[in-house]
Amino acid sequence: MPALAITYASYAWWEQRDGLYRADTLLYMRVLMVPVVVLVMAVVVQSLYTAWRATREGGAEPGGNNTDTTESRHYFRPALLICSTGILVYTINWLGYLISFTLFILVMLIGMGVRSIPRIVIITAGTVLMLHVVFIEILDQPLPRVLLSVLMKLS
Amino acid sequence: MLEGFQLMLANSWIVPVGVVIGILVGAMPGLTSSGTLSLLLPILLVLPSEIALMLGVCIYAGAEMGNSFPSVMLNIPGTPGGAVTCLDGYPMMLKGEAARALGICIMASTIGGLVGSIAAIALTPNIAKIALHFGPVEICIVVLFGLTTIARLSSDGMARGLLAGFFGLLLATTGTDPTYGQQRGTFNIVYLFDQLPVVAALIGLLGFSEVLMHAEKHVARLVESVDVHAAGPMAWRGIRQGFRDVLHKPSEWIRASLIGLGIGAMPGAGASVATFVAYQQSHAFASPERKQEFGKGAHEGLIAADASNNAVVGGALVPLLTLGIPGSGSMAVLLVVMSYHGLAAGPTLFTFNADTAYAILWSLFFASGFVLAIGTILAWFAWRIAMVNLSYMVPVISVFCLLGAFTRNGYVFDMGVMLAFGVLGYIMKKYRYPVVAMLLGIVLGPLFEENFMRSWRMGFGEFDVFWESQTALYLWGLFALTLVGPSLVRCSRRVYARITGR
Repeated sequence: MPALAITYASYAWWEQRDGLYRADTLLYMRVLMVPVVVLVMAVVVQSLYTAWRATREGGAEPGGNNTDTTESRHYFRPALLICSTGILVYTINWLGYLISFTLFILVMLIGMGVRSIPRIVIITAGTVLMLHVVFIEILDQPLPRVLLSVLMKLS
Repeated sequence: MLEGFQLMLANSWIVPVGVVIGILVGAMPGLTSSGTLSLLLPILLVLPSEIALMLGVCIYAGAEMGNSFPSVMLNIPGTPGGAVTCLDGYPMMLKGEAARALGICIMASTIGGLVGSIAAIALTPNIAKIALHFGPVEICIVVLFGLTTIARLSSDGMARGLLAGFFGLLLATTGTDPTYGQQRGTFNIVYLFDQLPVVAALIGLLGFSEVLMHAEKHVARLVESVDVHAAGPMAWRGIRQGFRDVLHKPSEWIRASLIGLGIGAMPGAGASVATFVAYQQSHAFASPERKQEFGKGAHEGLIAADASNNAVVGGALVPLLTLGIPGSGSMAVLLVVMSYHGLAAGPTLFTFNADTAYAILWSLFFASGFVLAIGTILAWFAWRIAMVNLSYMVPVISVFCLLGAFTRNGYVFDMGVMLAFGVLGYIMKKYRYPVVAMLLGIVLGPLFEENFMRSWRMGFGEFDVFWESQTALYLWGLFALTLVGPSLVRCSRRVYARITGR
């Protein structure tokens, strides 16, 4: 998080400095950057101190890490969710919303450990139908439907 | 005020709808009211402004009540505000008094909500009149005050909260500079030339990050085996007894409601803080015999938790409607809805859109009444929602997050922004950074920048303008007090203890 904040702040700062922005715009950026830099340093020092104290006391908790061990954690599933969402966002313009969302829900249900085929089919079909009714029929949203339109034209 | 009441009556059908959705959402652990409101944004943006805002407020009010069901029946708080209800609600359930405990929760929530809404109706317009005297300098200080208060309440130190808030302000500069029209921080992406898609960022930070957390924990079903039948039948007689318990202890619900109202009005504090403070106060005022009962099924504890929990909603509306400062995630969503519909949240709301502002406040009042009726009806089965298998919910909620992000502008790019902010929110939650602080920074960033630049030009390029007026000085004093006050109190206590040797 501190690294991300510093990276973004540096990018914004260099972009504006090199892009001949007005002095007032640069001033506002400077006003925001000063506390961000100070706070990043404070957080880093705080984390290092916590880690040092934990090491000295022989504790297991390093600063900042979530050490909740009461529940089993599966990092594969959030990774799968992030990847499949990324792929969906990338391909929805070509595949259209019906095919993309159907595939996405199918993959995610299997990834989440659902093994009953009837349930997978019902949840997938039900969700896609519901979003079609709500977002297309009622809210009239222009969801991408490229491949679908092409297939319909071809047929 | 009367026009607002008429407007609310004309759209009164939305009140029970919102309360039902809110109670069901509140009963589902993991789905907070702010997360649900962010998921419902596509619908809230399409509905007429007054209906959308009334629906949002009613969902919030219903959710604060609905969280009592799983807290009492399953010892699982539906929302963070419901955690204190577990302390005495669940022991009552184990004693076979589940119906009575739910009766107490329903009645205390109703009364808390009514007190909160009446106070909000009475106070908000008057505070707005005072806030009308605020200039750009004062607005800047109020924004900083809101950010700091939220950061102050961050569990892992103020620095993390402030960093999240200022990073949010920095991200909010993405897009066109409001003063000179120059594009900043856009990475040359045309979709960012206007501004950062706030709705997509909001859904990512609040909704999608929560889905990722659930996917990681993978608690397929939050409750596997709870013998709720041992709690006795969910009889009407028990619920009625619970109602009587509350009505016979007016001092408890008056104190708890006022605490909830006061804490709700503070940005960032919210229901979880209010319930703990109210519970602690109830314990402090209890007789020595009753003190022994706390944590084992004390009615006073349950009343304190639920009355304060619902009074928070009325309190939270005060800074939103009078200053345009959202004090919580739910209020931030409502602020986005207001700005989308062209309603300027803040003191001028009561000048130009007084009917809508009053309609929101009246809807909260009526929602509290509906909480009593609908809560009693739903008491029989609403807690079963906690049994829903989360494996099914993760893909379905993800799809709604994606569509919610898409709906605002109709760009697939916004889905990507939602994903990016979802991952950012997930990392923040993992490393215990307050997501709401960043959200507040993003939402309030444009307001802060506009007023900062205006003040700067008013002061002819000198910073002195920020402490020239009396009001600004008072606000700076309050700001400083928030920043260093608690640390000073802690230090002085430590010094006092060292001197006195206690």
